Formats: sequence, structure tokens, C-alpha cells
Amino acid sequence: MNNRLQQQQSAQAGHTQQSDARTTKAFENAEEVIRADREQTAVPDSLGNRIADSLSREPQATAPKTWWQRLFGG
Amino acid sequence: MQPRSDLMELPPDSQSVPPPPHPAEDSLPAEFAALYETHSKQVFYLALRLLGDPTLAEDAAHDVFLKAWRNLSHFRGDADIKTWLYRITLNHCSNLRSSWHARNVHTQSDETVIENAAGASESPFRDVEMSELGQRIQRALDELTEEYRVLLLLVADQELSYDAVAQITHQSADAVRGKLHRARKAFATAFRKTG
Repeated sequence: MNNRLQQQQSAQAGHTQQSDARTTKAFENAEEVIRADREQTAVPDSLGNRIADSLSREPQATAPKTWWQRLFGG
Repeated sequence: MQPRSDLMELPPDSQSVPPPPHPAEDSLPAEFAALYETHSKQVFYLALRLLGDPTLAEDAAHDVFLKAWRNLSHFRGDADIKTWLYRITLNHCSNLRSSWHARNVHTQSDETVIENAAGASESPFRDVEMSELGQRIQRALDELTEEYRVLLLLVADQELSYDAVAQITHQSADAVRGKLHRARKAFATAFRKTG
């Protein structure tokens, strides 16, 4: 019974250590820390929809005119 | 401006809001969707860490992509499109920050203290709790001058060469390398204080 309890306790301790290992990390330098932060930062879902909504109200973008089109109004 | 990076955590009731019916990229014009999909994360993150506020960062990223759309026909193609987007983002955020007079928050003496305080003790980047990472980085970046903050955020993008960073920040690659060394020390000191 005691052995079984010890096994359960060590299993729980192992699980805790595993959880800690998942939430704590070591980094080499500032850039690595920033990269990790960027990776776990989500872009808001609403951003793309807001941009799409704004673009739908923009005049249609056209390809840049060549010099002769600008000169002769083509 | 007070950094509000804690706002990245959604309030409990916001989880009941249904997701949009289609991915955002689907509703963007086809030629712009790929640009958004590839670069939205970098643009949003740069704005977030420069402004320190998720709501302002979303507004800024929106404005950046709108400016990009309006000026896409003027994009000369002799620069990388990411470099161009970063330049727009920096200009936009810099204008916002200067309107808040945020540049005057830090003084040269503050910066010198931070640099000199960077001792030879163990790395502050050991055993970093990931759930606190965003808040700690924001607080550390807020301690730096705008120039150091921008350099670190740009150099953290491994796809950008020092030459590209130099081009974005209007200086030589050698100047970038020199300042980066001091920026790293300043950030390490500031980050240690947030622990």
C-alpha cells in the first residue's frame, strides 16, 4: 500500500515537473526572448476583417501607369 | 502612455463571441491576402511592443496595411516588401508616440545607468515563465530608448539582415552592430528588474 502511494506521489511529482518544464524556458539572449514572445502573440481575428472592410470602401487600386500613359493621359 | 499588455488576455465573456464565419484573408482582395497572411504577425507584434497596447496596436496595424494598399502601386520593388512594411509601421508608431511626447520619458542618464548596471551575473533569461513573458518584455522595452527598442525588435526578426535593419533605421550596418551591443545590455538589465 505504501509502495503504491509512493508511486502515485512520484508520478504526481513527475507530472508537476513536466508542467513546470512546459511553462518555463531558458533563452540565450534578448532576440531569442523576443522571438518567443512574438510566436506566442496572436494577431486579433478582427484585424483582417477590419482591413477587408476598409479596403472595400477604398477606390480600386490600379497598376502604376507607364511614363507614356502619364504623359498622354492613357 | 501606460503599457497595457495585460489586455492581451481576453475577458471571460469574450470567449462566448463566435469566431468570424470565414478567415479574414478570405474577405481580403486576392492580391492583398497573401501579403496580409505573410506579414500581419510581424506588423502587429512590432506595433504592439512599440505602443504597449493591444488595442492601439490593432489600430496601427490596420492603418499600416491600409497605407500599404494605397501605396502599393508606388512600391518600387527594389526593397524587400517586409522592409517596406516595417518602415511604414515604424513611421506610423513613431508619429503616434511623438504625439504623446513619449520620447521625453527617458533621458540619456537613465540609459547610461541601465547600461552600466548590466553586470556579469547570471543570465536574466534563465527559467523564464512563459505566461509572464509578454508583460516582462513590455516592461523591459519600455525602459529603453526608442532607438534601442526598435533595433532589438527588428534584429529579433531573423529574416532581416543587418543591412536591412540599417536601411529601415537610416544608418549604417556598422552603427547597427555597435548600438545593438549596448541595446542588448540595456535590455538584459531591464528584463532582470522585471523578474
